[in-house]
Amino acid sequence: MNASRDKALEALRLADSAFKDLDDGRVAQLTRAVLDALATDPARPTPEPEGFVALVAPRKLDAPGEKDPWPVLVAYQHTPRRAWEADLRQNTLLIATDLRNGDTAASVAFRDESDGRQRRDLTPRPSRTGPPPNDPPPSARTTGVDLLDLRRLFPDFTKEPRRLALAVVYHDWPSNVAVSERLDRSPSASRTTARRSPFIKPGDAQGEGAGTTLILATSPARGLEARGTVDADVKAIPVFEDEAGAWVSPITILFLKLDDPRPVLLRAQVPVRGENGRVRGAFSLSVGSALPHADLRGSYQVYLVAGAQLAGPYPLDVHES
Amino acid sequence: MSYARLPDGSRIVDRAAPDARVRRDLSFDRIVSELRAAKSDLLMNELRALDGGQGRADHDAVIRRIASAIQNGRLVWELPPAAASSAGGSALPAYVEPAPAQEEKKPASPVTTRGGTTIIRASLFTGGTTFRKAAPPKKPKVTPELALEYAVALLRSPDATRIECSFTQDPEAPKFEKGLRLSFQGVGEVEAYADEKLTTKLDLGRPVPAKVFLKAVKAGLLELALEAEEDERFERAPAKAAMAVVELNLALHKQDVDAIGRIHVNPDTDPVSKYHDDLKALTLPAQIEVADAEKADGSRWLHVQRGGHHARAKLVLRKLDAARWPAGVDDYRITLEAEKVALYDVEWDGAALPLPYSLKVGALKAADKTLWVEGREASAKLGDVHLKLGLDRAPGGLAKTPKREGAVARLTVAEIAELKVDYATPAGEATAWDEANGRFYINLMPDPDGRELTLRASLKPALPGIPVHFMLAPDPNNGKALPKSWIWKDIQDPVKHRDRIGRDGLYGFQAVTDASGTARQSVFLSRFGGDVFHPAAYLDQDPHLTRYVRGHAELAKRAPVFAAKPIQVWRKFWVQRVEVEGFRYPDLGAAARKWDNVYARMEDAGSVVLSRSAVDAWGVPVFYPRYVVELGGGPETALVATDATKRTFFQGLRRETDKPVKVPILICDAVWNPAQNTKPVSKTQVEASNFPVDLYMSEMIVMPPLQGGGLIVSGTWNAKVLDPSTGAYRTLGSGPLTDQDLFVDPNRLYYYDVKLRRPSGSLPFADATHVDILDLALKGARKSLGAYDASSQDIIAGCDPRDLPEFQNTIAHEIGHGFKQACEPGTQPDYAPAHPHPDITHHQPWHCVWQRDKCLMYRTGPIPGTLGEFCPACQPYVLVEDMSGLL
Repeated sequence: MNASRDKALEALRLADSAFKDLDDGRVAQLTRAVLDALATDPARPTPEPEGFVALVAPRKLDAPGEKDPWPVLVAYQHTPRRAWEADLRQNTLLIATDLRNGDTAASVAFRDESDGRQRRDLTPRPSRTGPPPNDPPPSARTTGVDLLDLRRLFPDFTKEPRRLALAVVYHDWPSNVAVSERLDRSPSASRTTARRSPFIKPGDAQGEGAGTTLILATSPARGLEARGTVDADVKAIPVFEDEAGAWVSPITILFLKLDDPRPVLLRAQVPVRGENGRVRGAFSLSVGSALPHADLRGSYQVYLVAGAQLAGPYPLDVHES
Repeated sequence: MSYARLPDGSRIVDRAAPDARVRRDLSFDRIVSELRAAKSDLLMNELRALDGGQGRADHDAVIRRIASAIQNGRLVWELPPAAASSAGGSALPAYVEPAPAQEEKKPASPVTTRGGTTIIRASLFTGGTTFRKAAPPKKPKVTPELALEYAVALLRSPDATRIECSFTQDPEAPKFEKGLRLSFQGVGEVEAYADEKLTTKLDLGRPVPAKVFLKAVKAGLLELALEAEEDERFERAPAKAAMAVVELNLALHKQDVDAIGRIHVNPDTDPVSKYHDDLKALTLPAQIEVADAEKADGSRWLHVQRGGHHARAKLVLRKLDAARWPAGVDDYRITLEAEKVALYDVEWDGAALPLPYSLKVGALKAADKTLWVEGREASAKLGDVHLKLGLDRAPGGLAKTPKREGAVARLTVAEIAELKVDYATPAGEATAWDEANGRFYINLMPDPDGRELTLRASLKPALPGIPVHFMLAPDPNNGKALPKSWIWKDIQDPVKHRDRIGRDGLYGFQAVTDASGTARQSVFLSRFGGDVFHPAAYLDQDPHLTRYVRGHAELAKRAPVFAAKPIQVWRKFWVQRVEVEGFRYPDLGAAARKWDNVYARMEDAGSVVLSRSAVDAWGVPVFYPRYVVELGGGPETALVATDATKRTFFQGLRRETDKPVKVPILICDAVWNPAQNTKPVSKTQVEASNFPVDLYMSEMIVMPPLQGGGLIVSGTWNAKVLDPSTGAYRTLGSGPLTDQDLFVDPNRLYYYDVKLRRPSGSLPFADATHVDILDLALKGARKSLGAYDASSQDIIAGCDPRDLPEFQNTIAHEIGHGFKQACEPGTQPDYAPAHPHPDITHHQPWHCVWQRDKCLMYRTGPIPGTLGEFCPACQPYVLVEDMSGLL
């Protein structure tokens, strides 16, 4: 648990209707509220700041217009050392999962707004280059609140009314998951069947019950393997019937590399079953079979997204392709 | 019927009525005498008309010729109708006989041989006499003899057919002193002349000379009869000979231009080679026979042959009608003469036939003979090549000369001696055609006007009125730089080269040569920079050249006439630098070379230099210590441009008509712009002795801020003292942070760093052991390498002397934006696929992420391993971009 994130979330608690009125001035007020919530007693020694990322979204947004924004707030706190280790702008992704069909997309959270000019910027300094900051404890802390618009971050993903599970990951820092639904008057398409991914094998059912989890393992015989379980509220994950009449749910495994804004996404349909209002299942897959063209050499933070479930990070080092 | 009426009612007519009474046995002298007596102006006019209206001969000469014509039967003296004689009953004057009915004429019998007698051949009138031994006859027999140079007279030929008239006499005394009369009968008609030049027509009512020259008048068989004049002392027998007036026909052919013009072959196929296959499979229409008028005026063109590239004209010697030729002449030869051409019996290739060409009459009686005419030497004037069909025979018998021009067809051999781009720089404007380098700059006028160029073909010798077609033959390498996603058939016409009448037509655009033998025609280059076209021209009579495909194994074998140099599609633009006195930057050659690589010439339009004092006078932040705007930059002054200040730099620039596409560039040391405020930073319990401290902000920092005013947006300090015994702090005072508390370290490692001194407000609290810095927010800044501003169509770029390659990349990159690069998906031209590598990750689709950000049009720099050029994905968009204006 992250008490600072909870405080920030509490400070950012807004009625759904308030999201429509967010502007720079209101965001400044909310930032102040977060700062106040995180303020320490000047009379007492300051504890080391607790870093976090948090996301706040309207549960239901009445935004019928095609260009109506879909605002969400992202709050964060980090130290100079954390920024040195993982640059915030290069390593923060917003992850959205469409709960109708399980499609997941990731987008750079902090974008440089264009002002009509086409610029060539300095390439951002890679994380962990140069000496670490000279920042004797207690560390300095940077606290921010940013207003983001899902319509701009996911222009294709938000055309239709959708119910999205949203989360922010700052490399190996995941945020809370928020579910937000945009209401629209247009009919929405929905998928009723899906095809089980051919590279999926049933997992060990004994592993179930521990929530949504992922285990990554490498063996000489099978290469990189992912074994996981899915355990989600039936309302928080889509379920489909495959050609054989079995139930499957979509999952996405995200492989995040430091400073790489383009995560590798592995999408699959895994076998599940319903049980007491929950959707449960276990799976095993060969990453090499699922992503035959991906070069995964390097170090990753891996997340498993199953509907509104975000599991991870799971560190992964791949030395051989 | 023509006639001359005499005062006594009689008439001299050219053809007597069937029942007419005519005067006969009138001597020449009597006729002359009577006509002289009856002479009047009216009569003379009528006699002249009968005489054929020849010249200005005096009356007496006319009368004498009329008399001669009456004597030889060509004219008849017709008495008045029967009423005149009714009174006198049926009695007629002694000299009157009914006119013979024409149908009473009987065909002549063949000439008989002379037998084995010794004869005397007398040359009449010429005085020359050859004596041979002859047996003395009882009553001398005079036997006329006819010898023919040819048994045919060639219609339309200027050459006469000679016949020789003679007789033998047996015995030789008494000498026959009268003459021989020649007559013709049959369908064929000839005229007899006394001379070879056919100037003196013979009066066949009188004895003929030994040599008579026949002019063919009407085709058909005829019989010649040679008869000795009556003399009762001699036995006479006529000589007869069969002959024909014959006609030769020469059918010259031309290309069926109209039919070819109706052929369509779609050039927009996938793959492109299908178009070539379709062309190859195409059968062009056969040549069609030219009209007589064209045959007469020579408006059938041929191009001088060059290596087998040009077509031949089809020429057909029409089959002879055997029924209209006399027997025994099958070995005669039909001859074909011509200059400036060669003759073949095949349409392509083969060996030239010898000229004059000939074939036997017998062969041509069997079938048409098809020949092919190839141009060898250019005509000096239109229609000066004559194909002359004549007649000849083997030597033997009478001496003979070939009979020429029984049929003539004229044609013109033309030669496209030169093909050039016809270009002159318009006054005060930029030059589009760089002849030395073979580059045509297509963007100096809006598309497609800029791609239009004029080709000029010159015929030597100059011949007017010749239709010339023009071609821009694409080089085989064209389009090879295009990715496979660019499917030729889907690329729309407007950006493709245009040189044909109709997109899918065969013939190229046509122009007709003027009096100087020059034809000019506009064609359009493609819009793909780097495309190479080979200008070419051909005559409409070479339609196979419409199928020419350069580099094709088959279709390139026969080629049109090319210009000396190909044309390459280029674009050109100018950059005009704005500089400030005292600040020097490298030339832009390396950036220009990047544009050279995409066939766009970047030229220097000169610099506008602003004085330092003038810039100072603007009163805007322009000059900064270099270390503030460049890491490790040192203390000297750096020139900084922002979006806000750059307009002032550019305000003195003017448009120039000779530099229609000009990009103003302000080069400075660094480009900075305001950014959002930093996120609040707090650092608590900083030991008082540890100041200054480093603060790492969420945005870059420059001082003073580009936004103007103070750098600090918010932030406070708490001065406090630690009670070591309790570990608690006691606040001594607090206050706002000020700009004086901040500075940029000349040695800072990151643009996000700023140094904070111990807040000046806290200094009075000397007992303070610690200071809290709370929620410090500053005005942010953003450093760019460069920017293109579409609203003002100009560029600013910063030059870091430690990374000049990146500076050049930036210049080329920003110019790329000016020319709509990288192409944003959804904004690409209709004909192009969407750009495959837009930077959607950073929501900047106008930047390219090819091969993980290695393209020149990636959003940032430097990038390790960057291509430093337009990537293969961007390149086609750059190549096809209409660079006649800036975005």
